Amino acid sequence: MGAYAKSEFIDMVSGTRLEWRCARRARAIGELDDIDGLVRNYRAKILRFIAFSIGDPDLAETITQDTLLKAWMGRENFRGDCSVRTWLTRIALNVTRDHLRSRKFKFWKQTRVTVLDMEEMAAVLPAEGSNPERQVLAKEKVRELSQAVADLSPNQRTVFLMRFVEEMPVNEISQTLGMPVATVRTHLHRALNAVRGRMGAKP
Amino acid sequence: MTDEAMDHLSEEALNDTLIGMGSSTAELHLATCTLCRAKVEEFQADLGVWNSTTLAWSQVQAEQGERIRIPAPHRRLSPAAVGWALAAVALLAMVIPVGRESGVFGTKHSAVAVAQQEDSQAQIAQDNELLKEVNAAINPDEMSQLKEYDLFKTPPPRHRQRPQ
Ligand SMILES: [Zn+2]
Repeated sequence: MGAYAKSEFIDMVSGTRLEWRCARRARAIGELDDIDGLVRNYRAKILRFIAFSIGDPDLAETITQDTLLKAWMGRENFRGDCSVRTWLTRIALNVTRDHLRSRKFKFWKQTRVTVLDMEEMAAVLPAEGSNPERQVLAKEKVRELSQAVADLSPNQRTVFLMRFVEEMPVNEISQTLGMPVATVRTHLHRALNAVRGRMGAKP
Repeated sequence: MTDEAMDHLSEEALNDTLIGMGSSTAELHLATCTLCRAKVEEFQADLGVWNSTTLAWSQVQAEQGERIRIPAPHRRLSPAAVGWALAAVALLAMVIPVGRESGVFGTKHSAVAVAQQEDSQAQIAQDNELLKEVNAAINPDEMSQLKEYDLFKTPPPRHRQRPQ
């Protein structure tokens, strides 16, 4: 039970981290190997992220398919330094960028998602109890928030969705976008001011 | 201490809490202040409803979507095979009509069609500015590793025309 020298201790710690990372990578590659599972678990999530990012559900479907296909084919490149979901989000962002580059894409029609899909959206509202008043209120909240997200600038919208829909921590968003943490924070604050202001949560 | 006498969290501090960057002072305040906690919880509740609804929506969309076709078994193709594959894709694109009227998100397309009008030069310039911003913001590393798979990129067999 001898005491470890400081350098040995650090090696042990980093060794453990490396092992943990390798284990995560191995587990993730296993997960990525199963294309059906991948589609089952992530398709809807990626689709939502992209659909709300670009405001074009049709293009979002194409991008989602490309993302899953590329992730699956490139699964050996997964380094284990983030979760599979984060990795897929990174790929989805890159595929989106490629699509936007490859065409003169009409970036975001402010009202499209909300106008187009609010009825579909409302139709799938989870029926909590049978209180019609609560249903109406929930529908209104969803509509308001969708419109608020649609009205954000592209940068604000992307970081908002990454943080509050993809549930990525700020430092992961920063790494993924190659954007300083302070900038991500600023975008998030502006997005929150806009969204909370709209939702009536702010004075 | 009464509510009035209390120093409540600033909007900035509340935002920091919501994005997971709240200070320990803010956490401490939230533990004791019902007013500030209510603000945080209200946003989280709204977000919760929105998240569950939008996910339910996208699950419906995904279920209605095309089955994702995987080249199986996945292996590297010889250049000749790539050529044949590309030729086949081109042929299919010509043979299969571009109509998938009620596909993935296939409702209310007429509204979209109406909404889509020719880009004005100003609009294009504005879009390009936005794209520059997006491109600058997104790190290209991940994709470059996957470049070799670009040949599998599904052609865009969309059922409606996008603005060119
Ligand atoms: Zn307070």
